Amino acid sequence: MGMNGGNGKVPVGEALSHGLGDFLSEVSRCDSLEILALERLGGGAIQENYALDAQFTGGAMAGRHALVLRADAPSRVAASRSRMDEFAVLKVAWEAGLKVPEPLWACDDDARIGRAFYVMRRLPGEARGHRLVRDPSLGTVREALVERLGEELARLHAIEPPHPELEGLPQPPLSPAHARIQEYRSYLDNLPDPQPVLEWGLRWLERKAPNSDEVVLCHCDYRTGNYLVDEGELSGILDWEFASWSDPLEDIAWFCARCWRFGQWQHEAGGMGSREAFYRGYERVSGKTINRQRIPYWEIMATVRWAIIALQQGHRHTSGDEASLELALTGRMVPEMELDILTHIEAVKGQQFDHAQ
Amino acid sequence: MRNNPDATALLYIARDTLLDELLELIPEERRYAMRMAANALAIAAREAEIGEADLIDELRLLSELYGNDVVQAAGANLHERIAKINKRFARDIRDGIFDGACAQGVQSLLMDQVRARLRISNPKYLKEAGLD
Repeated sequence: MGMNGGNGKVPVGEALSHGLGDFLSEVSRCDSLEILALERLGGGAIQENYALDAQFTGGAMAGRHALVLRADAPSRVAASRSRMDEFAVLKVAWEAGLKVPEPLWACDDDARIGRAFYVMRRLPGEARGHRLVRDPSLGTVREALVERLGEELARLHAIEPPHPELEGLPQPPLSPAHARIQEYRSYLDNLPDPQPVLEWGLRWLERKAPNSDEVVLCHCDYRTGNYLVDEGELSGILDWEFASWSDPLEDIAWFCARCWRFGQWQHEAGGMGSREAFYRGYERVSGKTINRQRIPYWEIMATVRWAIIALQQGHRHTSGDEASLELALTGRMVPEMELDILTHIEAVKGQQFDHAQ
Repeated sequence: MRNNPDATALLYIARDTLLDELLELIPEERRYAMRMAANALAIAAREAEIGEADLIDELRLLSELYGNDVVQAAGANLHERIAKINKRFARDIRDGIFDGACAQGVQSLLMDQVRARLRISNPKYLKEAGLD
């Protein structure tokens, strides 16, 4: 792939477009189909995204369409099940009226393009966090945007288990906090070096673990960088691969955590706007009051999670799996998160968390 | 025999050359990679500059916790000892050994470790937090 160079525009092999063409013709029942463009989009080691332009003649989709094909990366064939789960979540979110790309068709038959994939509509806009938080044209629109993002999150959190279309997701945990702690410790156990500071954070989280008032459908990567903004408006929420049943405060805190502000520390809601605007949108749509006392707990959880992801990314470089300067430097960001964890724990010392008995 | 200029000096001048002379020559969309490369050189320069002083400090802190004898017995050299004791430290934290009275001391020890690592990887971040 490196040989093609430039901007991640990778022409896709004949096999892919052949298998894809057949599939699209069948599901759309068109008379004929022309794939006008199929180009790899940036990002994602677990999945690959392609911008797909196709002209359908006849059938339900007659006309020209801008689409996205999202497939497992070739190295991750074993996890193909997850693409289908992600498609199911996206469908549920779409049907609940959320601002997401319309999911069209999914295919878990490896015979088509060699791995599972699904197709959704392509939405316009900018997703890159460091651009969004600094783009001068957005100005005061940001405050309205975070309020809108609060509203969307509340719409998502209205979806509760059990849900007939989401049976592929892991069972809702009895204690989302304890489930996360267990999960993160198992990630640490799979990395080569001991991590006393992250262990300290996890132990603190274990001792202070709150009860959850509710367990709902969470996005679990709801943050600046994972939504599209087009001409000052929210155009779509992306990257549903981590969606799971959890405590709604986990999503709220992840959005607000310091590590997702792209350097705009003073804009506590995703580096974009005020926390209160984000909360206001959320509370208006949900009709519920956010338990602000518990937010610091979940922000520390968020920071531990991001630190572990950074460790994993650094390890992808050092293990030789994927030589990359960006991954290597991400590994060296871990002390920044560790500092946040320790200062945060110190700051909330003595504070009541109404934690579990 | 001493190499002069040393690793630190070479890394810093390489970094400055990237930023001051070459950055402007490359297209806008590749500059981020160039800045990352310059940042990697700066981290390596600071790490080379500090040498083993950080490790010696870290081992001293761990000795306060586990006692000198335990730390000395943990390995044949500095690296082995730190690796071994940190592994035990991490496990002890998870097991709740430091939940009690010494928690505050352990937390400030951890803070010292983090500060030392940030002085290498991102001193600006430490400064912004008012903790350098």
